[in-house]
Amino acid sequence: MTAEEEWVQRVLRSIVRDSVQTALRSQEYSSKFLTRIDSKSIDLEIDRITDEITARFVQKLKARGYLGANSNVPEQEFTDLFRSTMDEYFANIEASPS
Amino acid sequence: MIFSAEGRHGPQVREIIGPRGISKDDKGRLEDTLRTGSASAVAGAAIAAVATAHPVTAALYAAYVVARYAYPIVKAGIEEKAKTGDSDKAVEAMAKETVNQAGKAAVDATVSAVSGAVIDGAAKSTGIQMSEPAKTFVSTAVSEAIGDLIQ
Repeated sequence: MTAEEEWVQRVLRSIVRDSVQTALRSQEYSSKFLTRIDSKSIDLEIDRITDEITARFVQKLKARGYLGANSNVPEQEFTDLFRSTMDEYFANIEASPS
Repeated sequence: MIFSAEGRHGPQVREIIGPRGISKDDKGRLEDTLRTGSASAVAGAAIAAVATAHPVTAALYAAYVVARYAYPIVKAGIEEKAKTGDSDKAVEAMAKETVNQAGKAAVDATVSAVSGAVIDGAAKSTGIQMSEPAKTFVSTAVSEAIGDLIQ
């Protein structure tokens, strides 16, 4: 992984992780989330899954040339690519033997 | 950081995921999983429900655009850190590089000032639109990533 890919991955990972953790600490979910004795483990799992998803996503961006010089992906394609990465990740989890 | 052990001080959840950001199905699934799921299941359900909501993907795209724009600045800091081993000098190098990239210097040689300068520069240069909550998330993400890379 190049330094630029690592940089982009770190920034994207932070957005996903902070958004999810913020949502879980909202009034809407905090009574169910913060009272769990394993909330620390959930945070660690959020970090782990976020790392995996953003690594896959950055690889896809790279494979399509969207991390090269002067080549930015259009927003709709970016969103579609991210959602397909998520779908693939969770489909693989469900398909793998427990 | 937006978060602390005592709570968070950033955008409210509705500003992040929007009034209808999470579908009814996803919301019900997340609430059920929050009560009874394993740590891995809760994390997975929360990521699946929240991270694909439109305001989050919009912030993610803004972060991608800003990150790409900011790389020459960050690279200057990484190189300075590798050369001197000094995090403060790395931040100074990034602050100087913002002049070349963003057209104006960061207000001072701090990570948050560099982060602010690159976001303003990216907005002007690329025309990327960011809501205030998205801007907060992107700013935090850029600051965190810079901090990690020059530690």
